[in-house]
Amino acid sequence: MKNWKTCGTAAVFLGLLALGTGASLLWPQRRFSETENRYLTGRPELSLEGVMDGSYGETYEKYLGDQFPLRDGFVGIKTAAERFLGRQDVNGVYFGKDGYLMERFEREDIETEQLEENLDALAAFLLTEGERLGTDRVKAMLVPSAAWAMPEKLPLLAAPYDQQEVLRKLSARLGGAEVLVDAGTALRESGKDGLYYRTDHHWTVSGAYEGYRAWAEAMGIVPWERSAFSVETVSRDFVGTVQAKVNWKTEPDAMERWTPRDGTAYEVFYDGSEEKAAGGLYTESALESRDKYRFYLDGNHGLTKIRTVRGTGEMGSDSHSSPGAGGPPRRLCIIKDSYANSFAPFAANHYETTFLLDLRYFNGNISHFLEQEGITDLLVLYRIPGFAAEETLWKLPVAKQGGL
Amino acid sequence: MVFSSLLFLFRFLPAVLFLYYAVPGRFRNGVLFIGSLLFYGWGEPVYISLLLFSTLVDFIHGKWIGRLLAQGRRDRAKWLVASSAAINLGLLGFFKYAGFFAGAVNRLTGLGIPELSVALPVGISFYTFQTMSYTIDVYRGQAKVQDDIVAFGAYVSMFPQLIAGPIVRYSTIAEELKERRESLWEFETGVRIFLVGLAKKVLLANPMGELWTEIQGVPEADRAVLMAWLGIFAFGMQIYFDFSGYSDMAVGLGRMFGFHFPENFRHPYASRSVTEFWRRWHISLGTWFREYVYIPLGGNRRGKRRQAVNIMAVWLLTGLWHGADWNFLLWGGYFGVLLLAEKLVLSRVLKRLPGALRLAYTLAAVFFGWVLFAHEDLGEGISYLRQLLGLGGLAAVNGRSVYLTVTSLPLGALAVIGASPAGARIGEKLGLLERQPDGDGSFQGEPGSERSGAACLGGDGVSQGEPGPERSGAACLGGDGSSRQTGGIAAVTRPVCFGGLFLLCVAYLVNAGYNPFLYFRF
Repeated sequence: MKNWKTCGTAAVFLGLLALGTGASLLWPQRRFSETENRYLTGRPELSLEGVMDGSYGETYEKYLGDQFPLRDGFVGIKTAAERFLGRQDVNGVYFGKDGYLMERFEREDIETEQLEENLDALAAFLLTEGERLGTDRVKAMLVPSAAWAMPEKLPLLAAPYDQQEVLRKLSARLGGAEVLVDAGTALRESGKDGLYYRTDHHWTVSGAYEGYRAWAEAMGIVPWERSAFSVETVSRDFVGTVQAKVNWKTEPDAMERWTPRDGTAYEVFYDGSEEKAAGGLYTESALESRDKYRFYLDGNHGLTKIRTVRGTGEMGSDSHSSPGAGGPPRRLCIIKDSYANSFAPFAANHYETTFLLDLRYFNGNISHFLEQEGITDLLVLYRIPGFAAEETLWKLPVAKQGGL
Repeated sequence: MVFSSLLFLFRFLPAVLFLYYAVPGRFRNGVLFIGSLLFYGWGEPVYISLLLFSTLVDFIHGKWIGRLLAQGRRDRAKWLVASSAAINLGLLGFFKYAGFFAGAVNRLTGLGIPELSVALPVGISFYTFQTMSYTIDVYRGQAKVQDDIVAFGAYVSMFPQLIAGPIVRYSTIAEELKERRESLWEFETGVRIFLVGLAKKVLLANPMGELWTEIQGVPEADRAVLMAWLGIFAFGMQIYFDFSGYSDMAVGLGRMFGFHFPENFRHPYASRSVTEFWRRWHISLGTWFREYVYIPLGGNRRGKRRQAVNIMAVWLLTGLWHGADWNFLLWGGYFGVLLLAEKLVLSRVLKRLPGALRLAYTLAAVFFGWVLFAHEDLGEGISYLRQLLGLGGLAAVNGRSVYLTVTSLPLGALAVIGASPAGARIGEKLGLLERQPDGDGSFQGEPGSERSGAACLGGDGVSQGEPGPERSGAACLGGDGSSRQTGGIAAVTRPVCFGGLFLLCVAYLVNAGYNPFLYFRF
């Protein structure tokens, strides 16, 4: 009795040690974390070599952290504790107003050496292609993340980095060539709500639409109005990657599909396949998985080809503007990250054929590809923080001395 | 391996505790020795050989010195002490300082000595000092020769204090190595000290470190004077909670195995002079330098001038001990000068000032010191100092600095409370911790026990009272056992509060995007 009274802490501590040890030994291993959308480290194989060079010890620690019982719950506890202490951002995520979770980017996150390299590569590419195709045919659109575009949703006093600085840096490299599309300002000034997901780092279809308007304007195309689409909600329980970083319960997002009222249809081909993708622009099965954003153009593909089949609906295709109407058909290529997946369907309405090229997964010769496919129009579309960290921009071809 | 990891908490510690208490008493040193080697070798198995080498060398030296002393050949024994010190310092010098000194010589002479850069074995600064204390104490007759190599190996490699202190002198635990009595109450106390330490490290030091790291990485365009102050505050808090948290964890673990390690930090940020600060900060290191450097150099017995030289020597070495770089040397020298100044002049001035002003002076001196400590590049240190003083051409405040300050306010307040004696008093009031002998922030030392810190290096009148008892070992958590009568409500609140604290620490560790280990430079 007396022992119980004086040594309760020791008993609780030993109990928790035993529980944690036992549970972490017996807990079923997961190969993949749905919440974090990544592969988890498994229990390493014991080998003399691994032990001697220290790699076994290192992997074992990773495995223990990754496979720890109730891992997601513990991450949530930490977030709750930090919020309780008045933190407005945890693990690089702002707790914004109206349930908005927004990634926090500061100058040092964006203005890296990689960014400078990428800007150099992009500027050289834009200038080369501008010369070849005409500067009115070549555009670059770097889209800021939610924290910049929706400042009214930021938590009190938050003052993140001005991501538009990147546009100014790019512009300075372009020497007056008017190829930049300022989507950020367009988004900010659209006055619309819900341009970004609350739980994910992507823009919504509505956000992509505003981006599309800005691009169309720069291209001299008359954009389709919002009323030209019928909007349907395909999912109400989308929980994205930003939420996973903090594991903080917030209202799930709704995902939309915007279908042209005039009956325009699309045929989609992935990675050079001759076979039409079953669902066209949308992958219905993704809605059943955790990675719901894959619904739009099936997630990440090195090369996506969209063939637009003109509708015969009441609005008639001739009411819409296509660039260079009357001339030979023009073909658009978008060099992009996943932001383009909800953008491309809008742009595709103005072309017979639209290509999406993701440098992370495309390993062909790009200038060869552009020439072979007869690309007449180019758009480079990235989210600014992603662009700053992207390591594949070197793949962009540039005019070298003595030709390509 | 580090204490603040899931691996330690849910693999190593349960296994060692189980084995330790499952085997009969005579095998327990063996369990500790082997467990400690595994602990040390987890990430870098080759360095186990280094530990074994140290153990063997000092074990043999100790025996030899003992035999010579028994034969009355003191002068011969002296050579063996020198040989042991040379080997120990040689190892330390090779692994830690070779690159630095080669660089320094190259710069001074223009020679091209290759600048070695070897991976620094973790904790080498700590255990080298510990093993040196053994042979010296044997020579001085302050410790008996250890005849049991397993017990000696357990001392050298003892995992609780192996990599981050406290620096336990051999004589402090010589008795306990031979015979110690583990008890449930000691264990209970150990658990609480350990959990307080874990919480200091995981819940306070790491977030503070995160803030400092962020501010350190802020480009000049986004800096402000306010941010510089917030940054150095965060660094000072990080380093205090990190060091003292590690020491608490060591003391607590020691208790679980029946050892009493010395207390290492006693609310240093409540000091009223730099002299007092150094009696409260990293006490075991100060004691070591006092015992094995300052006093052998003559201490204060050879006149004022010699004493001044001794003090400067000790502090330059203390600085260098923290890392092989110029800024650490400068940092040590800075404190040497301050201590001398206090001794000669300032103490008389300080005595007349109100307590709050003395506190402000001390904190200013210490935190300016942290600027030197934190910047290995002197140029960066100076430019940070200029920013602090508003000479860097920065705005006083900007949006980001306000945001960081406001959102860190509650955590910062917790840190301030935790670092001050008030925190311990709140713990007592809640019945979580026991009476603390040092409750009012000034030393009311209990005489008779080993004197702590660099006491002798300090002045006479600056701090009130005598230095505290070194052996009181985190006494605030109930070292003396006099308060075993845990009354009523505490029997429930303690397990609940400490259990909750532990789970919270685990949550932070599971989410260990950020759990840096600071000791690789020591």
